[in-house]
Amino acid sequence: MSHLAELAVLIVAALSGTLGAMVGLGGGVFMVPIFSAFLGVPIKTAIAASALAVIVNSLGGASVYLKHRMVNIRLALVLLIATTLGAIAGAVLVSIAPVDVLRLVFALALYGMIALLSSRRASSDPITSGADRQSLGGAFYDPAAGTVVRYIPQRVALGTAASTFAGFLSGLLGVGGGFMQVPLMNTLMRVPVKAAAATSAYMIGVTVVGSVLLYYANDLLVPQVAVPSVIGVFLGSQIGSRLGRHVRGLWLRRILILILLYLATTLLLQALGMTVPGAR
Amino acid sequence: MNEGVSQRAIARAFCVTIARREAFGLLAEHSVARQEASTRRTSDDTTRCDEETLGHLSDRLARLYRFWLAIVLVVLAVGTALDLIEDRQLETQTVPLSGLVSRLTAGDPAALETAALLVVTLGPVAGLVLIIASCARSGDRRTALLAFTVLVVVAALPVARSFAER
Repeated sequence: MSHLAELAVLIVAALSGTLGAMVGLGGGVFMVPIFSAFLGVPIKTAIAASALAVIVNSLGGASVYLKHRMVNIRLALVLLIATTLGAIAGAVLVSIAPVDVLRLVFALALYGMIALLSSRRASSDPITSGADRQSLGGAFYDPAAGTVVRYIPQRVALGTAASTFAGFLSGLLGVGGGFMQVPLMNTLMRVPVKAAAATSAYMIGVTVVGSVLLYYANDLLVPQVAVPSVIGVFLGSQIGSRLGRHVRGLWLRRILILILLYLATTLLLQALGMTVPGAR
Repeated sequence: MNEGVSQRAIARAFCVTIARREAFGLLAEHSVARQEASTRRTSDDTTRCDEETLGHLSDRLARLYRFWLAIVLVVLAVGTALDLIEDRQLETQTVPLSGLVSRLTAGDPAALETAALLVVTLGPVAGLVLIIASCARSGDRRTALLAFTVLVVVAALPVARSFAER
């Protein structure tokens, strides 16, 4: 691998980190296809490097969001348990599952989320009154609006169940679950999109720790790709998390919709038996 | 005359009784209001205390993550610089765990890079341990238990994956 390719890895990682930290994703959805399809990195090495980069993105992005108290720690812990249990079930059942049917289900679920994110409901004011039985409510200062935004997550049981299902599908298909969490929290649980992105940024790091250790044990972590990825994503996460605080929620939702559209279409094409460059 | 005095005494006693009743009523109302206010204040204080505790936890987590990343970046920078000086290119393989300590003490750049990559991987785990310790110390058993469950479940995921791969 040439120094030019290493520099390209660093730049792609920095851009992915910026976008990922803004909307609460790991950035793997951009890195894996670009690394493998355009930079000649073997797909398994690209997946391992991007998983490590997700942790760096989470640590870098969440450190900024935590400092500004935008991460809902309790909600993150509840959803992490649900998602990871789903992912365990998915990983165990992967050999007997009809993967193409599941890709189709996943793609349709993503299109559904895009529709929900585009609806007026997603941009409506958060719910601030009523019972908060699980003490999951939160508050943060939104610099773009210039006010303190308070919210109480709604339909926690349904959101947790949906999170388990999302984890199950991501475990079966081998994709990260970060891009499912933000729309789930925003549309189903009525968590403001900025708090959802910040909470998801914290969550994604925790979910991939086990996978990265497995990649290391299987010699799939290649420093030539991993080191520029880590440095690039770190720089990107610092920019992205600061941008994410100051950009209006509406723009964050629009960026998220575009990313979900790309992912849903990739999964749909794969389900229909078409080859997508760099797709897993 | 006596009759007039006794009528006045009865009227005064009646007025005193009414006044006492009013006073007791007011006192009772005041007491209820004070109790309600106290309940309200306690509930507000609990929420505020809860928010403050979670806020402090957020600050501590943010500091831990920044410190963690700073260490990783320094080790990674040193390892990468030594690596580039040595053979003008980055390593293509990580150092296995069995030989990591001995090669680290020998100042091997590949070992430094591997150590940095492993340390950054453990960052979120360190965060969970901090949440468990902070919440257990402040008496928030529920959050501590949640974080502990996450730790257990996250550790179970790679085990499940390796079983599935076999």
